[in-house]
Amino acid sequence: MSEDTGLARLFAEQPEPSDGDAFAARVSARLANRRRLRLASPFAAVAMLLLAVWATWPAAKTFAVTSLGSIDLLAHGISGFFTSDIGTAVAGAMALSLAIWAFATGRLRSFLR
Amino acid sequence: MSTNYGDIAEANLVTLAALGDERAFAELVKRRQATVRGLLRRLCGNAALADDLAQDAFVQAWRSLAQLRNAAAFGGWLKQVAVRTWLQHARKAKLALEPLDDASTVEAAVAPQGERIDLDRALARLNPAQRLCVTLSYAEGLSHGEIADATGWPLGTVKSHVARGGARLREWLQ
Repeated sequence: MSEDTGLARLFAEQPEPSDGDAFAARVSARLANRRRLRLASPFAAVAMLLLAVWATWPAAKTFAVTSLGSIDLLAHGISGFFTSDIGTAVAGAMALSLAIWAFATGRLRSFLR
Repeated sequence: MSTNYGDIAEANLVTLAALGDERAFAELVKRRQATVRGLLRRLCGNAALADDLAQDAFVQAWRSLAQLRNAAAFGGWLKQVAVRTWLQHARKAKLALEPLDDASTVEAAVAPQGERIDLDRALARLNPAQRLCVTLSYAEGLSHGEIADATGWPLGTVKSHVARGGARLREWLQ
């Protein structure tokens, strides 16, 4: 018997961990908690946003109007390209490519888990 | 009619789990937990910590399962996930994963003269990088190339860790 085989045999003789069912139940519980958290988090975020708006009114209104106004200006600057035929085609192709890549590589499903 | 997942072949369970079937994944956890927990116990030397890391590894596996291309390769892929989980833990815990020069390693790890120790204690005395490579090589039967893939370390480094770590284990266990 070679020395390598001797070491491998020593490792193989080590006892396996017990209570496998309890461990599997703990993993399932963690996955269930994770799922509940992912489902609840968008509602919690919206609730916190509404609370922040309520607490800071009317400053929140001024901020929103200013921010949206800036975004509107930015969008109008870019829209020159994206409202043209070639711009629409490029934007569509990019969005489609991204969606196909995310689906084909499984990243979309990983993201949604 | 309820499905008995215990009778389903592993590759089919992997496909079902990749599509989001949690009961199929739970069955995979039951079947593979001993391997993953055993591997991490050897690497950690601490059963409670190893079980926590094993849970993290299975959660990570659930998240990434859709990216597994070959369902038949699930076992090897899961070991890689477990190894990456342990490496992340080792980096956070600031364990010395970089190759050490031989002199410093021997001074830190050598057993007292003439002492005979068991496998767990001998493993614990290896530096973390050697412990990982020796465990993957002798306990899990991975080739040097597969260990290099799993750890992201150069092949030469892996060969050196396996050879030196294995030699020290044999010396201490004799």
